[in-house]
Amino acid sequence: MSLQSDSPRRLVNDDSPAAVSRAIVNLLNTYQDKPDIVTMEYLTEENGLALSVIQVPYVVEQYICGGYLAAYDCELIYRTIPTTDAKRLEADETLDATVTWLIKNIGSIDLTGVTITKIERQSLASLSARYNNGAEDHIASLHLNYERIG
Amino acid sequence: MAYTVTGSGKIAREKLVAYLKTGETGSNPAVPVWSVLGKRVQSSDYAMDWQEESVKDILGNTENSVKKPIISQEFEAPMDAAETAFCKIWELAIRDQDAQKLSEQTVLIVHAYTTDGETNPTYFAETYDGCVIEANTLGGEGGGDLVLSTKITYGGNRVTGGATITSGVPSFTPAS
Repeated sequence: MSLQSDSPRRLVNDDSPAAVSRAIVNLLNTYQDKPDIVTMEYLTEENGLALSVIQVPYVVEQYICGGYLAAYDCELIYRTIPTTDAKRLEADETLDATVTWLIKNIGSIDLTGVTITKIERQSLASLSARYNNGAEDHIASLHLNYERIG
Repeated sequence: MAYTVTGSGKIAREKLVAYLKTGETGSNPAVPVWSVLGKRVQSSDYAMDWQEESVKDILGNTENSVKKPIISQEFEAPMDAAETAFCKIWELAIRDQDAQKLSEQTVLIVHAYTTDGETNPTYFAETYDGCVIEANTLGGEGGGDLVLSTKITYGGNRVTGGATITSGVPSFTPAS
């Protein structure tokens, strides 16, 4: 069954979303040129680099033997306090470079029973929020598909 | 033994599984190697054609009759080099175009939503040793996956019995 856009989405209800999130965070933390250590959905008030899942992964294709193809939408949030436009642009460039590296190296993720089949950039890094202490969130969003064969 | 549908509520689609015999292991006797059909197949039906006939007599009464069903099932899925069943179909149909072998394949169908109610329960299962496999199309959209579309018509000797599935591997025991 291919889930049409007007059908209710069936959310993934097993442990695969957490496994995929953990694998992406672990992979990103092997990247030498990232601006900060990657965490899962945690930033301090002034800085940080976090992977955040935008919505609960949902089933795109359901296979008759019980497996499925899922969609996983996430974003990388880079919080920093840029004091100049140059630093602001540098924040976007650094975040984009991190995403580019992730896209190139996603194939090295080896998960039992789960295969990431597609990754694509949904947006370039850009300013998303600014706080009273001068901190800014720069965000780049990604779309992944992964498969679990039943 | 009498098999019945088990559980309560609706039954998940993945409880009806078809396997193609892709080889044998051991000897005396050799044990079939069963490879699952449909890993990335999104929809496939165990279709039954009862060959219904209707006759109206001179009194205006309609007499209906049916015969034992012809069962067929279609599969359409992206090719996967690790998927043994479809790779075997590719070898026989695409590479060898071996019409004779394609008409004498063995398929096991496990109805994993049933039980015999025994202490070590088994599922109702059936094998057909004269199945015809037709590879209908091989292709797909540009930029997408190579998709193989097949139709299996179950035929030959039908043997029923019980099956278990352990770690995705079925084991079939004909009814005595």
